[in-house]
Amino acid sequence: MTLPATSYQGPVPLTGGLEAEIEDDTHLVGSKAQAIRIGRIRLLTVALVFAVSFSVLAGRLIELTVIREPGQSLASTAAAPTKSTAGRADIVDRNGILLATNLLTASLYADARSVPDAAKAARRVVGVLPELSLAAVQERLSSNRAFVWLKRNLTPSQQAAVNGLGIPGLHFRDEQRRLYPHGSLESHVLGFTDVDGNGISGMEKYFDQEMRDRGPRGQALQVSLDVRVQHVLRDELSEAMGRFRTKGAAGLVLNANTGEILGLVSLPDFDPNHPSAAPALARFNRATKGVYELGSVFKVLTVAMALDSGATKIRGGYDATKPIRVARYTIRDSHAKKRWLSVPEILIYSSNIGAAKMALDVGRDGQRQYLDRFGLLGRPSLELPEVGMPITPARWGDISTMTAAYGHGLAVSPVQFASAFAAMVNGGVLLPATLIKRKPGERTVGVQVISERTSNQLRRLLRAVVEKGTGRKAQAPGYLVGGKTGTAEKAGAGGYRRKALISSFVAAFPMTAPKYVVYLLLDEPQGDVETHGYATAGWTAAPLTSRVVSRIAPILGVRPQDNESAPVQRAMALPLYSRVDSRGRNIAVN
Amino acid sequence: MRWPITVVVLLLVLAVSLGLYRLESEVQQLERDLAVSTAKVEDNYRDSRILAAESSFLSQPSRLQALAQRHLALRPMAITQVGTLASLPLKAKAADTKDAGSKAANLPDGKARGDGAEKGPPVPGWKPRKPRRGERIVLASSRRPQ
Repeated sequence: MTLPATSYQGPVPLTGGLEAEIEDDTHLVGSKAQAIRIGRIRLLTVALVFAVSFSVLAGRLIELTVIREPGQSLASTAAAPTKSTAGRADIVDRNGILLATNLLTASLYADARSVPDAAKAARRVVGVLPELSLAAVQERLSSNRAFVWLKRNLTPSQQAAVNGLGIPGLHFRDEQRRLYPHGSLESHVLGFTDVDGNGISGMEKYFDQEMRDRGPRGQALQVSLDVRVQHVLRDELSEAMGRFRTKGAAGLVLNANTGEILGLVSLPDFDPNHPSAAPALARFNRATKGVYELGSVFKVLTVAMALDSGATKIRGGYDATKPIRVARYTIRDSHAKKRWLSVPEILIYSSNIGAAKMALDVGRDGQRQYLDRFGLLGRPSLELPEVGMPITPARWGDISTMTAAYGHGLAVSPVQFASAFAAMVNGGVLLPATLIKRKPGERTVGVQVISERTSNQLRRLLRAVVEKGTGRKAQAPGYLVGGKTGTAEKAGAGGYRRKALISSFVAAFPMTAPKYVVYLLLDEPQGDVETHGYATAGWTAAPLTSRVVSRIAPILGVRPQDNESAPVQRAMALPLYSRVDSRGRNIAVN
Repeated sequence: MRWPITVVVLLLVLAVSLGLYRLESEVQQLERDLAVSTAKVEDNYRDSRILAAESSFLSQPSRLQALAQRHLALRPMAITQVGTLASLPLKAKAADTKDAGSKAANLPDGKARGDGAEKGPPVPGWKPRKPRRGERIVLASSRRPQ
């Protein structure tokens, strides 16, 4: 049987070899040929789909087995820790000791709509959390709200106890809780956060955004404090506070060459873990926020500006025989010698008269310029929100010039003064005080405020104050302490109060090449039997400085030196001139 | 001619399927391991934070000071406890040492030390002899030679 040739419709235009194949079958005609053709096309399509699929699978197989390293496969992408946005960075001291951290705790909240019996549930909750008020819990549970806090930051045992109650509608939420392991030791520096983790005071507030940005897994904030120094300061100041029944105390230790604050204490203080438990006064930072008329410690600055400006020389001197009477004020000396005093003697015996006359020689404008240069007339820079602005005389006349010479009529914060003092002894470079640890090798940019020569002279003068003058009780054998006492009367209604003193001592050691500055301040100390009733700095703050220096110097690695050794004697030599009459006798009786 | 290709393709398909199946199960196992490890890492991280806080809490300087005062005989370092190499006395010369040593060695037993006239390193002095059989060992103070 032959098939009619007319039934063949001709080759369907296909591609490549398929077309040729079909042309071979031109002898097949009709429905059978068409069926075969369609079958082949279908087969081809299926084969293509399979080929593509298997190619993909083979490709993937090769990728998974050959190209990718087994270790870095899916694990590396999936195991990356999710960066928690909630929480704050840790704070560590200069040696890496943890000062503030976050702990994950559970907080209890309720979906009040799901709590079946609010009164019963409240009773049971208060049964395991007795610090909660029954009325408050019941009110919250009956509020019919979807979310009410019952208690934040539960301990694990409290959480287990609440869980054990099995009350529907009570839930836990993981929260970060700020913890200060050292309690009140660094309270005024670190500050504290509220329950939601917002910085409220101290560095927590100053670096609030940065600590959030870093997050709990981020790099910790390293502060310049050294907890050991901080502890010694707090320990000694607390003891002095109890002994002299002071209203408060403040102290700081500063690196004279970098401006880093190694210890900063203000008493009374508070526990930042429970800040609301302390009275508001305890949260006041006397070391940075409090501004005080600091008294005779200012004479160091007066002598510095007089020597630096050339108003007087180290061989110069002033007549301190009689008190100065200006308007209704009388300037007199507490340790009156009633004779001509050389410049070193003015500092050694803390002569107000001499300092006032010296300041007049520097001049009103000169004094203001120097004080401004020392950073005492503007807002000090420090990484704390609690920084006090100095109080300057409204009208800076000659009287203000004279009183400012011995630290009255001008109120500054202890940290501000300590920075200025550091510049007096470190070679004359004023460095901004900082609470952040400087990186090793970091160059600190300072301003030369007095000449190196003047600074060298001041070092000898300050050493002489401790060796021969009002600061003798500040001696710490081996550590060559130099410093100055400061006893200021506090201003009250109608003038200064003679019995309300601010007694302070500013010191640096070792005086041959000062590394550290210590400034300690007692607010209204009361004398005791041992001090013969005196509450002045020489009897209160000076011995305190001695104890602090003796304790912190070994910690800070300061090598003791022999005071009698030739190099020390050479470095600290200070000629004490006195004025003699034609017969070679001292003009006034010593 | 075509069936060998079919067999090869079938074998290939079988091999690939098996391979994929094994791979899939391995990946699933790895995912499970990963989840467990991630949870462990997270737990350890939390634990380490708690431990760090606890360590800092326990090493509060005031606590350590109280403990040290109660249990140790430690006191703050005195300046006399610090010295330098330069402050040490000079070493005796080798010739002197030898001379002094030989003189001391010539002295009779029991007189080698204690007279203080000779300078030099310490010379071994009298030593108790070993007890003979039957002898008792008694307190040295009662047996010192005259």
